[in-house]
Amino acid sequence: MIERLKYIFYFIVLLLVQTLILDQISLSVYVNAFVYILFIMMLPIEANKYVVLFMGMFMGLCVDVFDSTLGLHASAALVVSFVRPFVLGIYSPHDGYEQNKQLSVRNYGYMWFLKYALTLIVIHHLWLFMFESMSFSNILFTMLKAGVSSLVSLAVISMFHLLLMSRK
Amino acid sequence: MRNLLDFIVKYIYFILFVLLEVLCLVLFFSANPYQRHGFATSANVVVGTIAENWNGLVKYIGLADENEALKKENADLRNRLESYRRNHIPVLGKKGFEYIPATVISATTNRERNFITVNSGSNLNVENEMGVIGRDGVVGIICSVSDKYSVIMPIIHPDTRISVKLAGNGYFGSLSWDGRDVRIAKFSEVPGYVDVNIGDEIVTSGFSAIFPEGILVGYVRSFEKDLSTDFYTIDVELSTDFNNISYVYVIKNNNKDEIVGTINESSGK
Repeated sequence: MIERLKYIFYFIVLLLVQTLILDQISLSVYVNAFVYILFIMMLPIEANKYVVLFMGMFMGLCVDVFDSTLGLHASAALVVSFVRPFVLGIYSPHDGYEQNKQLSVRNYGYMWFLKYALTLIVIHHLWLFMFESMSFSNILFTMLKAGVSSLVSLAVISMFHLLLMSRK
Repeated sequence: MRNLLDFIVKYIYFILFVLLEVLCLVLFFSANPYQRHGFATSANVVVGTIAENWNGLVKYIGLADENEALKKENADLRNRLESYRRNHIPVLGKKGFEYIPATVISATTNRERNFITVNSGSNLNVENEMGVIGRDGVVGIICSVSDKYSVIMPIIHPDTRISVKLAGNGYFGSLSWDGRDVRIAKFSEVPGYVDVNIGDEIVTSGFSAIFPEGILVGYVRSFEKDLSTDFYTIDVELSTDFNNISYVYVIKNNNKDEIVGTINESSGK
């Protein structure tokens, strides 16, 4: 039960940080940080993949309501949830993942976390920005935007991951 | 039949993903840009209340600048009122336009599909497709309304079209945004024989019943003539700074029903 409360807490914190803080800051059209996918990344390893799919989509829908873009973030979050098991598989440690051990820097190391997070971030950003611009004529602009934003998101996501992990 | 069932069972994870993804696409594309449901946007009462309270906490940052700007705007309006009084210029139409003040409680500006949420809704007679202006000029058009909040689709959204003209000679066309730079929009459909200069004022045309005529939109920043069509593409430097916008006015056109009625009649009923 306490475990579940923890994930509800993550959900609320990340949703509000995304919509009330990050979405309100605008440095440049190239810099869009998305921290809400950290919720999908941190869901426990033993979580049922179908449940992850629905949770991811629900997180996306909530961000969409705040941003008035119904369907956009839901779709991108769904893609992240869908590929999560495959990405976890690719970066699986030699002796595999342990059940009941959180997917965190502390348990699997910095390199593992950076690779895992960056892969999901890049997939999410490419999908989101392509969908948003709905044309291939701006493809270079879209790729550049996805590249720059991915690095910014990686920094923000790493920071919030450490913050959320440090509280006991 | 058995094979089909085997197939479905084997790929159920992928099939579920595709179905949910289709659902997202339907949600995204089925929305009419100017008529979004108040529940599905930040006009939603829960989201609006959260955003409003949060904004109440953080708006003190930058309050001094805002006060200064409002003072200037007040002085400017007083001056204009005075000159109207002196010249007895009759107000257009019997009922004219009404301005409903609203405070911005949330805004995205660095996305491709940007939106601004304000704290006035149907309780103050805000409706979909009303124009919105700010201190420095046109902001956008209302696209979603709930009881207490509404959402503006600003100039910096790819679905927004605003009918504008060159203030100097009255040639008109439509203003749109390509998602690149929040300070610059594109003004197209101006024929190549028109005299265009850098710095020329671009204002609303008044043809659409959404905005009164002559409200500032921006200035000509640069222009290019398309030789194959002989039309200009004009880059417009927007007068509204979308990164710094706190108060706006929603424009209610009290003549709109009559105008729309007349158009319907004349278009062959």
